[in-house]
Amino acid sequence: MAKLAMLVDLTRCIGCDACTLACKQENGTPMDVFFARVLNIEAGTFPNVKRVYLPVLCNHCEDAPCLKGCPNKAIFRRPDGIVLIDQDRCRGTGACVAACPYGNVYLVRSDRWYLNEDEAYERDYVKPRLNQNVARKCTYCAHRVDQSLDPACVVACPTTARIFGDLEDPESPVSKYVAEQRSETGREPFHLLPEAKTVPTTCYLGPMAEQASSSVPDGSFAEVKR
Amino acid sequence: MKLALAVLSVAALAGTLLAQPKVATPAPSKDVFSTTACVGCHGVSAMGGLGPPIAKTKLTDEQFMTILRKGRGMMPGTKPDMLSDQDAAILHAQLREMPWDPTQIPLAFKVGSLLTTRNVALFFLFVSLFALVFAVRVLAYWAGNAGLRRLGPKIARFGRGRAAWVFVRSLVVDGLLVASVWRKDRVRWLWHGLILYGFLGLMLADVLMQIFNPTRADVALTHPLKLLPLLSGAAVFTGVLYVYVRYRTDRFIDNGVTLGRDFLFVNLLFHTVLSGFLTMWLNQGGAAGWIMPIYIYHLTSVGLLIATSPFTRFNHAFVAPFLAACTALTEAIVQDEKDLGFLREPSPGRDHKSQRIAEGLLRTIDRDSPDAIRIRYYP
Repeated sequence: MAKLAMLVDLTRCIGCDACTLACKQENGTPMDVFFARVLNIEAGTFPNVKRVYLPVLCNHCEDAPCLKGCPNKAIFRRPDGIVLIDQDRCRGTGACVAACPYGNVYLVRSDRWYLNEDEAYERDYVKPRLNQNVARKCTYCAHRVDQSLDPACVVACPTTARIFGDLEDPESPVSKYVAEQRSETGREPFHLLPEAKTVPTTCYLGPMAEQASSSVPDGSFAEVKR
Repeated sequence: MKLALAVLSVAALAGTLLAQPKVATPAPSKDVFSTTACVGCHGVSAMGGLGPPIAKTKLTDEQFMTILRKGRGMMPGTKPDMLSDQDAAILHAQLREMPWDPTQIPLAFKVGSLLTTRNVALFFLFVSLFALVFAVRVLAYWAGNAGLRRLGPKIARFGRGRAAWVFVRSLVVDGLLVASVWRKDRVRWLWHGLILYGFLGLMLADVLMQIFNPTRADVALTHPLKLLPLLSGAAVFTGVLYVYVRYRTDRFIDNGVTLGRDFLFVNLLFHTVLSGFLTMWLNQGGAAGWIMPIYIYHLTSVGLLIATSPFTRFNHAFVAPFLAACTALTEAIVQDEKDLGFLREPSPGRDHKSQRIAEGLLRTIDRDSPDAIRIRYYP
């Protein structure tokens, strides 16, 4: 038994969207479907503003609402903790889309593509694998994990902000990273939307130090603003 | 409605019992009582079993015959081909002569006497209210996940009437008609329909029964009030049998989380329908001794089925249509907003859900969380 988890270190994320693209290439998703998004959050009012990059993906919750809400029993949880949508059982009812409190389940009635004519990649690799009118979501790249590879977004991240591994194995990269950060920076991993009580396996480490929200002295823009 | 009818019927019953009895009939010439099915419920000494004591009965001939032929409450009617008018008269006389012995009133009658139409109605009222409270809680949980509260201002912009139309339309099309299964698998739709529409038929039959025949006086099997539950029950039973087959043959029926709760629902449904059929069959056959225990078993199954409905797989009956309607509503609203930057939103609701996540994150990482948050761009 394992408990696969992804840790996203928000201190390291630079919002480059490499994960988004790597995911898109690996999973061959149609137009507008993004399993690994990066939210560019602008917070505050001028001049006290800051930008936070928040990579979001399926949280592979232990108490997954999509799984409980699916009327076709098409969503299941593997023993290693990965929550998958069975593409053959799914009938496109759309219950999971509303059920997911994170908005990470995608349901497109008919796929659209970026190019007018198929390249070999779409024709031979992507399109034959995709069922139409079924719900899709991030799989933690289960097909790669089964071959002992890391998910595509983890491999692609230039700042290694994403760390993937087995939380129950103390020697896994993610366990080591959590232990290291706990002792050196005092940061504890947290989950998104803890009030939803979904017990996600995707967890986050917060930004390390509060940086000055403006590089100019306080009040120097006051006159301009008036 | 159910309760009012139950009260009315109890009042009517009391009126009948208080009516002045007629006296004097010939003494019984032979023993009819112990050869009839009456013994099953009313006891060998007619001092009651699961039915009431009927020794020293004070019913008039007319009342006696009406009850005997039409039945009352749980008591089935007895047709002339089972007991002739002549024998019935002798039976009546015999009962009047039978000794009244209070020590013979069995404990079982005290249990059985609690099962009046009114008490059964009250029991189901209580069970239904219990289930309703938890069902509302379950729906509130899903509404929270779907972020319906955040959708409020958007619904106002979209138009409340329009939103209600989209929601109700989805409830009917995706819920009642199960359009998604219809599109992908007609055979599965039929099996599912057997259970879904059969169950609705049973519920409708029960309501009709409360309105047109609240004392459950016996009606013929070909009467619509009997035909509807019979056919509906047969449909549900067939569907449930197929589900059992699927539990044996489907390798992927276990999603790793909900199997126990799923199976509980299927089992309760099976026991409910089976005991319902058994009750009806025994009622026709006149094997009266078994009717009461099996009827109690049936009532218990139905009660458990309703009481556990918010927690077992039964909840998909209202959760799945609700969620599908939430998705349809969100999709319609998002499609309506012109500043999206998408031709079509592939995950309806992710914009307001992302906003909720962002606000939650800033509360976590920033003590004095900023008031204005905007997600500048998301793919």
